Amino acid sequence: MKRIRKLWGWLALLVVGVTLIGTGWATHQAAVARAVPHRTKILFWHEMTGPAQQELLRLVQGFNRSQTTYQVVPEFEGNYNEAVQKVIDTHGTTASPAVFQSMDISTSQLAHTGNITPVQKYIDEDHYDLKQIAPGARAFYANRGVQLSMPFNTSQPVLYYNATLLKKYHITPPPVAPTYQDITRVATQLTDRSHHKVQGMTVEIYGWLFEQFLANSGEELANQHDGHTGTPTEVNFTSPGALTAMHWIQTNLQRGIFVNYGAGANAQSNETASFLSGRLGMFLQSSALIGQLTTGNPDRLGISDYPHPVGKRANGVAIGGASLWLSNDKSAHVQRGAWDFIKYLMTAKSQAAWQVATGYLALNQRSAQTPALRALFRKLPATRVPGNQLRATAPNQTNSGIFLQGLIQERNLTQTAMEQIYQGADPRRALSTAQRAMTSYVQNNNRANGYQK
Amino acid sequence: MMQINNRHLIWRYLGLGLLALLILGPFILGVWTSLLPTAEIAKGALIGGPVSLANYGAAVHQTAILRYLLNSLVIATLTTIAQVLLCSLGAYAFVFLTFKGREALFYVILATMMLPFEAEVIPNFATARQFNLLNHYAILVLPFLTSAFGIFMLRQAFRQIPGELKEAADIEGLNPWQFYWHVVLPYARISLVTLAAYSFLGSWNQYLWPMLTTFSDRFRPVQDGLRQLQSQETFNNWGMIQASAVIVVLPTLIVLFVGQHFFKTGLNQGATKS
Repeated sequence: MKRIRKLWGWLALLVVGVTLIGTGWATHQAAVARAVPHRTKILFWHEMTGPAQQELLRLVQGFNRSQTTYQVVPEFEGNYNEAVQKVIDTHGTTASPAVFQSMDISTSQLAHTGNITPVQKYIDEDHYDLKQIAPGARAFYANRGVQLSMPFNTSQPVLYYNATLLKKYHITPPPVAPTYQDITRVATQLTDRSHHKVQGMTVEIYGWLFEQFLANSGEELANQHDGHTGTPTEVNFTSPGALTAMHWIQTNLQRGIFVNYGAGANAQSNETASFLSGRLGMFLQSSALIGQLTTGNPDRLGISDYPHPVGKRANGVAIGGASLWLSNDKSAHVQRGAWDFIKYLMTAKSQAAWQVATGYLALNQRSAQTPALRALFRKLPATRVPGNQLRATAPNQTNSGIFLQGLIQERNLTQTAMEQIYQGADPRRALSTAQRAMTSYVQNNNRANGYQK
Repeated sequence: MMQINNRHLIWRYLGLGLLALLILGPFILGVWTSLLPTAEIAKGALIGGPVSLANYGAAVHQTAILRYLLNSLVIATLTTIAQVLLCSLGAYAFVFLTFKGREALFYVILATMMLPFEAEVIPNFATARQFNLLNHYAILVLPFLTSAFGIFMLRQAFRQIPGELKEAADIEGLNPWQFYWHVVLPYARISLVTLAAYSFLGSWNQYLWPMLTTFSDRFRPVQDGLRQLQSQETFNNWGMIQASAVIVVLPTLIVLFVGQHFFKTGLNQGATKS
């Protein structure tokens, strides 16, 4: 009898648990779009979380309400690296998406899979006005005149500084387009005048930033003009631009006015934490961080362009972020719906709302005139800087990304070299080692795919 | 004399307490940060800030964490039931039935334990893809219906059942199913519960396989769901992520708490030589 009663107790607990989970799920589900009969389902894979995910879901709902033929069903796929793999692995099955978001450095890889329909096809069919999209962003996802995918969430690497701190110590802020020297000056003054209470500057050990030092110096990382004219067969990590930047960081680290926060997600969290608590004066990072750096921050945030070498004009930096791709394993009707959805996301209004909610840049040139974006610029004038930097950049072959497969490998190798250099190794030697390893990787990959004998 | 003993005890407990703190530290820190606003966590200000349950509200409303829990519950329950049933049948055959090549077959099964699941991922994935089973509960359960470890563990347990019982059952005229159901299973109850708890936790903690085969929140289990909460490029809502992690840990703690004493006795059983 007692045993039976105990059993009932467990059963009751289970029922209560399942009910709780069920009701909780129902309240969550109410906010998320759901498939509706009579409409063609467009499966959309994305990798956005937090405020960006909420804004994206809002845009999806907006598209679904704006017409009655299609129903876009968003599915979240985790981080960028995993998502690329999932897209490739599921191609041709019923689980695969019709339209998906994929990161900047997967561009060459995806183009080579042969699994995608270039958006150029629909741009031509619709006579879509591509000029309304920021050229710097477009160029990154185009190859030899064909627009492969549509740039979507786009950020720029920028220099952040704590304007309140600089004012406190009577330091002139860095100019809009600072040189390495300008930053050395501010960092030195900051360290000295605060009696080492404030760290001057940090540059995360991050391959993306390394690539931008080269881009802003107007130098190529891979041959064949960074892959824009053919398949690269060699990389060059030891150009003057790379060596100057690495020497600059190393010298200042040794002088104690720069600090090293290491690599990876933790480095980013830690430098952000230090910056927000006023222990770090400046750092280089993605413009997508603006949201976090302005909410709940009592200090005024300063933003400048990415630094460039002394005595040279800034060539402009490449964008970061991701773009939207069409899979070619779906029917023409579904692909057309996916393209309509992309068009909806790229309207001036959608793009303005996107920038306001996320910190990613509005890519539609007409977004700047929308009330939403005007209000943001009035409230936080510094948020204009990344957009201005993007607009000021005339796309050329060195600042439009690197059309090379295996960029993840390139980042791992350059990061290892940066780590060694930050610890005091000779920059030329560390970078040469990485360069040799990457060139052999590129050549192996080319041979394996039959691009090169 | 009494004094010294007490002092001994104090030192002993102090040492144990320190060790416990060392091990529990990260967990306590996790629970604590789940109560803080993310802005405070980002600044590294862990003490003195406002404390609230807001992160839990955000986790439930903004993320599919509850659906992940439900998915894991479904997957883990199905896996557990299947494993206990199929492993016990397998072990029964290896102990109570005599057939040609029995020992050899058993060692073949044992040998599969040396092949880690990671090594089987590619063929398994290709099979699932061919059958169009991707993104479904079925594919999360099918590869785990039985386990070599389970068969091995239950075989050891069943071998401790006295031969006289089998003889008595034969005399009573029990058929093999009756003997299995009325004698063997109740006798090895503790081992069965241990195996059930292991397979439940094992299934609950799975990460790699679901990551490869699920693409929507409708099927994604908790561990993968939790990983999905970390963001890309933009900022992480650490408070909410931590709150979700605490929600995910709770069921595991309950299973551990309930199964604790079964675990201890069960583990020792395999070690007894018979």
